[in-house]
Amino acid sequence: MARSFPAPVSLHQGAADAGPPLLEVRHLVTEIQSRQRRLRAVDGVSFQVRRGEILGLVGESGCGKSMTALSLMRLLPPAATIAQGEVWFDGQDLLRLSPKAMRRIRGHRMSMVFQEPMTALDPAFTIGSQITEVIHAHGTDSAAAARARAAAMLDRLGIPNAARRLDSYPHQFSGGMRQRVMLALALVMNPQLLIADEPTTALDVTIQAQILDLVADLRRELGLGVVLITHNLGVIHEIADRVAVMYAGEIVEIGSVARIFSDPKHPYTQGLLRSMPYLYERRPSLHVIAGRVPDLGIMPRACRFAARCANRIDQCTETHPELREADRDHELRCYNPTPFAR
Amino acid sequence: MSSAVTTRPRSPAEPLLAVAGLSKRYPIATDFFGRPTAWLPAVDDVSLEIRRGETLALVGESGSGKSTLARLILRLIPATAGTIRFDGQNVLAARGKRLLAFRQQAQIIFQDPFESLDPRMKGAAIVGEGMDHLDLGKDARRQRVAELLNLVHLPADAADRFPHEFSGGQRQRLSIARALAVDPSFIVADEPVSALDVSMQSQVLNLMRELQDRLGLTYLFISHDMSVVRHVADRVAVMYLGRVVEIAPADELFTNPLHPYTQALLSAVPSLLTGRHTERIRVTGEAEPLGGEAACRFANRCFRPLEVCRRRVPPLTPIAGNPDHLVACFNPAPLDRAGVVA
Repeated sequence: MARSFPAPVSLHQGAADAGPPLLEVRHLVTEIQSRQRRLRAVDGVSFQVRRGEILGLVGESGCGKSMTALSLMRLLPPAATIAQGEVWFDGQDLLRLSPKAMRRIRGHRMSMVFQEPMTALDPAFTIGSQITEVIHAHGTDSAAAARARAAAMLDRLGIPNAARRLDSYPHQFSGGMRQRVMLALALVMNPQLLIADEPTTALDVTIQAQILDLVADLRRELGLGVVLITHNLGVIHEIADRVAVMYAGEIVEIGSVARIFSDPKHPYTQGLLRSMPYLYERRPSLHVIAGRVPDLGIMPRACRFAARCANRIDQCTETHPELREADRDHELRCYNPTPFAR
Repeated sequence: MSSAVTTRPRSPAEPLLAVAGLSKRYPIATDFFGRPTAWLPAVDDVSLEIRRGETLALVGESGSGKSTLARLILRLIPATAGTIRFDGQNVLAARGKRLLAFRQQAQIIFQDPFESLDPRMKGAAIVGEGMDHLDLGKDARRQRVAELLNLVHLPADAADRFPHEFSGGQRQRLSIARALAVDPSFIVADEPVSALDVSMQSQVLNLMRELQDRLGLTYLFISHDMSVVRHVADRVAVMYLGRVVEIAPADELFTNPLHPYTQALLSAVPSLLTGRHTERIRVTGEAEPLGGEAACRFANRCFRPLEVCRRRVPPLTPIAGNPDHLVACFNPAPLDRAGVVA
């Protein structure tokens, strides 16, 4: 079928500036200790995010996208450690900072929002006290100034009667409102970088649309750099500038959203786009990517997607493909790319 | 097997399931003596039919009452008011053998195959659980389990594996095999692919359609995902805060939605999936369950409310020229080509 995807809307085109990257991740390797073995959940991931740019990190469950995010924030669970790599942010390698120095940056210069707005907020404290706690941890505002700042942030995020709602508890907010509060917590110190891990997955579609509009506005107004992690290609297409597709701990394709959606080259990216149900047509059956993601413990040495790939050639089961430039602003980890046909 | 519930000859034109005036109210406040003083109408005066061999999709956001409606229909929870006829039988009055026969005919598949399968039971035990009352011998039972696993395209050794050894998609196929074990004619699928990655999602959707063709199943398919619904539904019912606001054949609903809420839901679908860019209808606010009784529940978020919408409940009525397309709105209007209200 010749139908192509609509060009991305880019509510905010040209927002990213040409200066040095805000965030540069170089060859990040994160391992999980499992019984006797160390498993690589993130294996040599590199990417950059510029000021005012939204990078989408997309992939299926277990591909390592959340582990990548937690590594950047240095918030990994105890069993996981960063084995290699550099994370350059604001002129320093975050992986070399002391825990204390990292705490000064986290929640201040860079912050993170999670999928579950219910579990991420403390049910025993008011919204206001949770936001002012962040302000006091990083600033010297007086109690009244901190409260005013918290109210202004909630108001900016579209919460009605913000000053009054400061005294409400999380359970008095709906899911969409709680996600706005999470954004307020992340943004109240005016960070340069926001890492958002499935921020809209638990929300209804009309609320999801509201939150995505809000993130797009904030990056335009504040020049915020965003790493947006999601399994939803539709969301990436809607608001991201660049996209990195992850598979089994690696980036297999990265480039501009316009490029990747109009001319996806990796068979996995192509398979994802083919298997989605589209609204404008009803097909007799949906495309299926055969097989399943390899287990972390038995990762193939050569191409990790080879066992599921219809384009496989001998080389794919012999050596491990590197990420190489395929085009302008388009890198690819594949020995045998073919043109995309839906 | 269906003869057990049929007491009079049925015509093919007679719907398999007919629901009329079905309501479920939960008390949310009580007075000093514990008597309810306020009610939450989770399902409010719903009437609809499901025809033999069709898929009726029930769409709506969280709190719309779609799961409650499904549980009412299956008699998993008692109704406050209304009637349910299944294959000519009064479901709410069924007792003893008739109730058992109904439960055999009407099965459910849940959203989360991680939580709905007992982690300590092997595949064979999970699938065979519903067969207990059939008094099959050991061999006949093993044979039947093997047939069912084959039917859902699981390998024969799935019988000896535990749920954690399966992928999400395989687990959902296992729950489908379990539902089919008692040879039902009607299956409620409550968000069956919402917890699955896109590649697993397409497998399960393809399988459900294949089984419908082979076994003549009738589905009530609950989902919040419009593009998934587009792919599976023959007819679609849209729910909002306990009421059906629009119901129509799928092609009609997706090309000519008339209720403003249906239009908002469709316009919130990412453009990647709709294949075109349209100005998104921005609905503000969120669904508030406790609206005034005598008003349209959507009036406070509606982008074209009339004065009457705040005074009366709009009845669900057929539109001129199409008795299959019903809408509950005082101001129904088509969208123009650009997706903007004409």
